[in-house]
Amino acid sequence: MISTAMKPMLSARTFRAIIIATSLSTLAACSPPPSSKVLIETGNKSIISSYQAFSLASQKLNKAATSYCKAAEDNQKFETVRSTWREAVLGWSTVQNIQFGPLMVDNQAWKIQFWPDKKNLIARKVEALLKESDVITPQRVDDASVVVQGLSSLEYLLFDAKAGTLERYTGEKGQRRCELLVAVSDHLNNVSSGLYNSWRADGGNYISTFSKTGEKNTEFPDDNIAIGYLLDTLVSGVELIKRDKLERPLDITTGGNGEENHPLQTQVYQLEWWRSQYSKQAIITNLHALKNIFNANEAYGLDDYLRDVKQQSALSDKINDGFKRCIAAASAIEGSLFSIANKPEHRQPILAFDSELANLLAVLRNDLPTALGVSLGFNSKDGD
Amino acid sequence: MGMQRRHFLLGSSAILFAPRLLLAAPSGLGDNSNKRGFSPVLSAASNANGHRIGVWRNDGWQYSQPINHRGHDSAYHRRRQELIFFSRRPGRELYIVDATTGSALLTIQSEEGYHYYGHGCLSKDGHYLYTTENHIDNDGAGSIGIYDCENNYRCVGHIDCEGIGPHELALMPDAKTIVIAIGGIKTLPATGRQTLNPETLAPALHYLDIESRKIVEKVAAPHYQLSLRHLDISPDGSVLVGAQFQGQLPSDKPLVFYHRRGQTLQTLDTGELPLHFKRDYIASVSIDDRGKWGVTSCPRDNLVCLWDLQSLSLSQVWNLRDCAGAIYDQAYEQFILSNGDGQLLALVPGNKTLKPLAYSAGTHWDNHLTLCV
Repeated sequence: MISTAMKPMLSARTFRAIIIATSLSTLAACSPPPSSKVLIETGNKSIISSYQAFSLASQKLNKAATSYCKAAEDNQKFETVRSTWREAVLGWSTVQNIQFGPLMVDNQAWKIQFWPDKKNLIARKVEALLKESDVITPQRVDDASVVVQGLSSLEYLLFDAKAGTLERYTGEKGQRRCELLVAVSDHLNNVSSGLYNSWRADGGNYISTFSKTGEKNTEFPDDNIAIGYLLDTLVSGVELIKRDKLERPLDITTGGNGEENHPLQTQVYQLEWWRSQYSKQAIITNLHALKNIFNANEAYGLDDYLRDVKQQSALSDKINDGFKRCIAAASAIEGSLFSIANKPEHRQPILAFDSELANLLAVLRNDLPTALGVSLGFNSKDGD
Repeated sequence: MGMQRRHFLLGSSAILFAPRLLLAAPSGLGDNSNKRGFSPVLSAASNANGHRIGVWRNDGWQYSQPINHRGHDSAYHRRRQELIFFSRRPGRELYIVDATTGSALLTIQSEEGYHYYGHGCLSKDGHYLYTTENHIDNDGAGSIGIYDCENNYRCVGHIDCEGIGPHELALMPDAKTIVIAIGGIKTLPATGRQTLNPETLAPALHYLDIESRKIVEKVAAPHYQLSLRHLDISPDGSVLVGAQFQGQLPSDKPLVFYHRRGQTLQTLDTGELPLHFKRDYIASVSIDDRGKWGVTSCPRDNLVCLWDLQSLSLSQVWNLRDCAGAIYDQAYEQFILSNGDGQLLALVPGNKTLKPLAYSAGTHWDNHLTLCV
């Protein structure tokens, strides 16, 4: 009897042990490899958060514009619209450099920002639309040229020395300008929330496409391919800041060695956000965002992957240090880039920043691809 | 002429890789994967172990062999059942491979004083092979080499193509004319890939009359720095050509053009949107079997563009890292794309997304694909 009574007890214990052992091994099996962890955490902790912040900032801007247009003489409300626009620009600056996913589909980036505007199209097309007589709705804005959409158009409407003043919003003509301001901000709100939803697990679930790689994944057959796109994001982000946001408009031709010996021929109207003189802040936010992507916002990012899997702690630190030095150098520039562009006494900090960007870019281009075991571009480099 | 012909018979001495067992079904239809089927392709490729050329079928190399440097484009000689692989500049080898067994048949060395540019095309009857070459000994003049396919691909002469840096060329539907993309860039092996004539580039499309061996039409590129490099021909004889800008980037210039004999070069319209090119570089150009659609790959901008050739305008753009080869696969009504990340993908006009065809981790597909059908 005893023995028969013991049997089920033992079996129950063994059974429980088996369950525990099984669930432990299932846990171990579920724990993703480091490369997948990088994708999951970079996507969730950094990229989706940035899209969310951008979407919320656009929503706030839309609300501020709507509220202002109920009483267009209210200077305080006008200033609120301007400050929420700045927040939205910073939100955009955190996702602007991402080189994959929903942002790359159907010209989404152009709907948010039209830059550089070499032919002054924004002013021309916005004014042309204002002269038309049909009702301005977000749909009308969507059907119109991308030039009248997004943050660039709003910058013109809010900051242009002639067109973006409080006075222009008063009177009969002002009403229509306000309608456009509200419609464009509404449209931007739709675009930015669309991007955020496309990424979310409970929306378009692009996070799954990005982080669950494999044979059946239409974009990423393995983790390395997806990591390649993260690498591109870092490299092309720093390249864009260096070449297009700094060197071209400010006529920096030293290639980062600090020597200049020719009369400056700056093109300040090619600065990003020149009308609002917000170029520097956007650049600093870009750099923070790129650093944030590299670190998966303090979660398990490329920095940890380099350390744990690739035994490249020194490189990981060097890249983080490079970002910090760039951010410090940009922050040390006094005044807006637009206002100091042609002042020789302000040149040195600009060149110092450019030189830091060159150093960081060299590490990202030369050392990081090798360390990650990902090519920066086989045909891109030397395709013939 | 003082031609020195050097042919190397590789035969059994070549290191050959036996066709791997192909377990995958030839078509993705019916199995539980979401992969589409596709026709086998010739391509050059590189990986950590070096460079190779061969034919890729379904999920693996049908056969391939190592070569000493990067390959470029290739051609399929259907009647002779031979594959031809061209060396890129400043390479001097043509590789002839048996299409049935994959064994290397011949390695042809360019004539003394010449090197290849990576492209070639066959005459309609398959008797002759034409290649773009640099006549190094004539200060880098552009030249078209003629090879007799029926006689061990012996070089039987050269034609001055009246332009520096001829790159891709193709036989026109009339079978009498060859259209040549003249890149304009002068390089000499002594100075590597350095451009020796940066201020005086003269890129153009040149039409060569095969019989008279004369250039019968020249169409200059719209700007001297728009190096015309790659092209394809529509069944009606229209030419789609892609440029690589040689000046300060981005140029904000159109990079894709359409040409019909006797007419001016037409710019393909990208609408109000300047394509977000940062590096202005078109690699492969391909047209479908009806001349309705054109595809261009832009590896430096990670973009693939689909052009509507009826309206001469941009139809769709995809983001694809380091995209390289593009070729129309009539049997499956799709364009096959390759990239430096080892992916082969299908672009079907009208479909929103690219579909995966095959993936080879660690393989870098080189610039061009050729169908092996």
